[in-house]
Amino acid sequence: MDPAGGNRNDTLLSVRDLCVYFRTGDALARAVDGVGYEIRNHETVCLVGESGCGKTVSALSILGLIPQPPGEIAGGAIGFDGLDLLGLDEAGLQQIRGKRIAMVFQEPLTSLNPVFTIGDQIGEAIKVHRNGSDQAVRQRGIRLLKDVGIPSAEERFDAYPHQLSGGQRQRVMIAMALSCDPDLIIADEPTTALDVTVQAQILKLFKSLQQHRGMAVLYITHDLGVVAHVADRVYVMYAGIIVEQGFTDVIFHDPRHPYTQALLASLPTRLKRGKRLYSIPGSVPNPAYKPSGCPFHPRCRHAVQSCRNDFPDLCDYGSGHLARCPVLFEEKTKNVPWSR
Amino acid sequence: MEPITQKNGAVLHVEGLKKYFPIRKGFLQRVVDWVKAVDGVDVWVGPRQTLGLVGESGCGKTTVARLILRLLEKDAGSIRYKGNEIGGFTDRQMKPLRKEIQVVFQDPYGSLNPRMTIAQSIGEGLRILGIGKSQWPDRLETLLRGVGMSPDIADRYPHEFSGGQRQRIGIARALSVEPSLVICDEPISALDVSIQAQIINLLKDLQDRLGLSYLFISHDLNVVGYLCNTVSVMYRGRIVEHGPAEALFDAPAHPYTRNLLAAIPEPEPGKKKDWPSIPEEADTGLSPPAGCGYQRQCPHAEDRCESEPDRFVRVGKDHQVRCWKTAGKDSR
Amino acid sequence: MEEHPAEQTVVLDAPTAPKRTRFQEFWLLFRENRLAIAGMCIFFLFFLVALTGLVLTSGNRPVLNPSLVRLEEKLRPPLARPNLTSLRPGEVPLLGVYLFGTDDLGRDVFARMLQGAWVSLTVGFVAVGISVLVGIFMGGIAGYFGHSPVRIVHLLLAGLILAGGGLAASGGWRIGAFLTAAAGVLAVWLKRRYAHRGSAPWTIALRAKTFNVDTLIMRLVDIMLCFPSFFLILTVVALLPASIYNIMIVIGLTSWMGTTRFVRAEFLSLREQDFVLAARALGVDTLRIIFRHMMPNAVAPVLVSATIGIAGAILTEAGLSFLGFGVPPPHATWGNILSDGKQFIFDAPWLTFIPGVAILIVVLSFNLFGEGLRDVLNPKLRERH
Repeated sequence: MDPAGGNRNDTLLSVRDLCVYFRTGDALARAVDGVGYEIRNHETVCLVGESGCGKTVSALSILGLIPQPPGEIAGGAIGFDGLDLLGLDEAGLQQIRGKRIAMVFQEPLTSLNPVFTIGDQIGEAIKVHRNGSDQAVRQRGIRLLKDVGIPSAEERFDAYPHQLSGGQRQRVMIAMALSCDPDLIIADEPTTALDVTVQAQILKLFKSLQQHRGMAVLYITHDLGVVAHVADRVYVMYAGIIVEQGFTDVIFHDPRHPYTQALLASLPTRLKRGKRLYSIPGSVPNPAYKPSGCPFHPRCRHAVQSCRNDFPDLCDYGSGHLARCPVLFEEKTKNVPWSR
Repeated sequence: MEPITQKNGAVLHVEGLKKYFPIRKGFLQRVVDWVKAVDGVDVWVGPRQTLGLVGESGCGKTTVARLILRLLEKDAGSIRYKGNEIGGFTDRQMKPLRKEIQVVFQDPYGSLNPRMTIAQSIGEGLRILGIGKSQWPDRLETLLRGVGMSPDIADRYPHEFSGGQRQRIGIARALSVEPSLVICDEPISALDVSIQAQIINLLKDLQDRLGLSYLFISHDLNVVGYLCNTVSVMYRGRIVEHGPAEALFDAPAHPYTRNLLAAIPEPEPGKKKDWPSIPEEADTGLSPPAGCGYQRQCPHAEDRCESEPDRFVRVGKDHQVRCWKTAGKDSR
Repeated sequence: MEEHPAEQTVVLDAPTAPKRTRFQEFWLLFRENRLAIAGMCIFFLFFLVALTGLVLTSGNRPVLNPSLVRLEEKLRPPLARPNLTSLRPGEVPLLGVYLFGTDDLGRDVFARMLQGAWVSLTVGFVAVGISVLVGIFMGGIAGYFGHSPVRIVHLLLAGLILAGGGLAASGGWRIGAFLTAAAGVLAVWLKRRYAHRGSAPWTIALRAKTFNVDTLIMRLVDIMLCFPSFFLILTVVALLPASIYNIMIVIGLTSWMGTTRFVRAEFLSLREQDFVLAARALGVDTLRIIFRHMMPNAVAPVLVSATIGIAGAILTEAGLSFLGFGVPPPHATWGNILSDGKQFIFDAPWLTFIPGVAILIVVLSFNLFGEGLRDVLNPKLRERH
């Protein structure tokens, strides 16, 4: 892995300055407000943030899944392996969806159609992009179910979604995503709705699949524990912008944005028993009524006057670690270590 | 479970609680089997204490909460509140006691009536206490400030607030009747990470200030480890391990507890976790096996697990586990 | 970084979006539907017209006289000038023209239309009012108490009350009142003494379960739906003495079934919502939970069906009047005017055209208004729930 983290030849997906706005009534909700990230071949990138930060919207815009009224792509570029995704029409996007970029959603209950069998749905995913006899499609489908660890795959192939548990349904979703050997999988909170033991199995599955098939994964989540285990690189989002990015261990051991630091400090663990949890005052801003300057400044311990007036740029700490806080960047020169 | 050797004066003491739901099949809707949602559960909460009830979905912890609140009728067992047996109380008998045991729900979006203002929602509690309308503004102010909200939100409707704010309002409503015991049914699971810490701190402060006891139901072991004095782990309707929080987390005795703890991803990269390989998920359609309910998933299962009756064994001070094997290994 | 300072609990949060009541949000959505707005305007216009019409045409010396017969002026077309020579001073129409012409007895059709508007309005609103009240009550009971069993004793008491009511309605006031009162007293006494105990065979027989409340009410709905409603109304109206009140009550009592189903469905889903459980946990009375907590949330579909129901009631009344079973003459209703005019449809087409178009406009606008309400109330509110 190139420690410089610069633009390399094997950049698979690059998002630059993406702006996605939603018009609701008379207000303009700036869901994604100038976001840029990149994913290289074979790596796992995590987009971390709380609800309303724009991570899901930015992922949906990669595949052109944002309904254009009321949403609008107000700016930016998304490049995938040389293609300009924002410039593609629906037919062009359909060639990408499922085949080269696949998506796994959060709710396995509603992502699968209850009136069709698992086999029908996987078969459809396969047939969209590849031709083949029914028998071949069936064999491939069963093979996929085995790959994702569903026991008794032949029987499960003909079962209906309601006959499977939540974890198994999510595995089926993953199988469908893998059916055409995509280069990139976007997983939008795939384990949030699952129990923690099931989540552990799914995370293990993702890791092994990635090793065997060499795909890249964009993993969207709000769970910092999951991030620590699956991600190679992390982008932290808040109120529609990237506030910090870097390699995983750097983000966790040396965070340099007040929001990241506060998030890590506010996680309850049994080691903090008896001590008061740090909690960030206030709440996430409404995307239509964002504060001026840095969107985090009303809740930030380090805020100064300039935070209210100027929108901060990303400050470079080296080795691909960037954070959008000039105040802490100046403190860095004083070499203050951070401890939880 | 052997009686918990605590001092007297339990706020809540539940023994042998059972709730079975019938499965009906056929034209005549005959009962063919039972879903043992709660199968002999004991709970003990002391004054100013927090008991954590932990388990994954479907283990029956929410049903336990409903049974204690008498929103659901139990099939067997005793529920004692401050020494009084309330399990068999009629609605009329329960009415004066309802204000002593309150609840905070998981979903902030369903827990407030969308057609009532905040003042009206909380006012229902004040009305129960018999407080006249003239005193409502003062009470509302105290309650709302107590949960960190400004009193001039009283005329607004729930849809104008975020999830965390609604949860605070829900807590204010629960406190409006001055309870001694508050059952928190996954109160922070639906909230953002940064808001969770706010609500956890709030709950702790309220406990210190008002002397509340909590029955804290959650699937999040991190929160439970941080907040609770004692912890009970539930699996498929039964408590499989119970003990003081530190002891339980330092030395989990039951294989399910160990599994649960091992599965939590901790925000510590580099601490490469070797997740245990867990066999196929529990098929909840099948009826539970004889003996230990966990044997089909347990990596240490033996034949004895099916024949041996499912009993609690002591592994430490106030620390009990429902497993003959690990108890044998770690017993002192 | 140093230890984080203890953060106070007091985090004075306030919502940042501008304060908007539910009504304002509802209005913003509603006004985008042009047709619905048109419907609503006509709704209010109709209301005003009916009220002014009532004022202008009632009393001994009405401003606009709907029943003044001027045989020399019969079948004059709309906007015709009156023949001032043959009329007495009090017979001249107010505006100097016959706005809508005259009918075969020389009566001013405009005045009659105004008088009829009031009838249509009252029949519409009162009939729907009755059906909504009955429907909400039945639907609420079925939805909330669905699984509670109906016991023999309940049936007996209900039977007594209905018998009492029926007797009272058909003239036997004293016997009816006595039976109802006796049933009430019996109910209270039985509940006090034998609600939970009592092992004598007759108490066990009384407490025997028959079927669910939900089953009872839904089968009742099914039975009522078996009757073709218009013919049912026709039959009942033909049997009873002709009066506007009977018509209103009969229409109301034969159209509550749809509302019942809506309200029951809403209640079934509301009953499991956390805020209802919270109210039960607080110890709020069951009746208060049903009417104060749950009912306001269940009203949305009822509003829609009520608006559309008013249109239906107006049409039914017009139909009854047309067939001769409506409000007795000389009181004017739109159906009457239509009916009287059908003999002269070639000579004086305005006599059928004007009331027909009026009915069309009113019914259409009510339907549009109701559908506009439905579009706004249903999906959006579902999201917020």
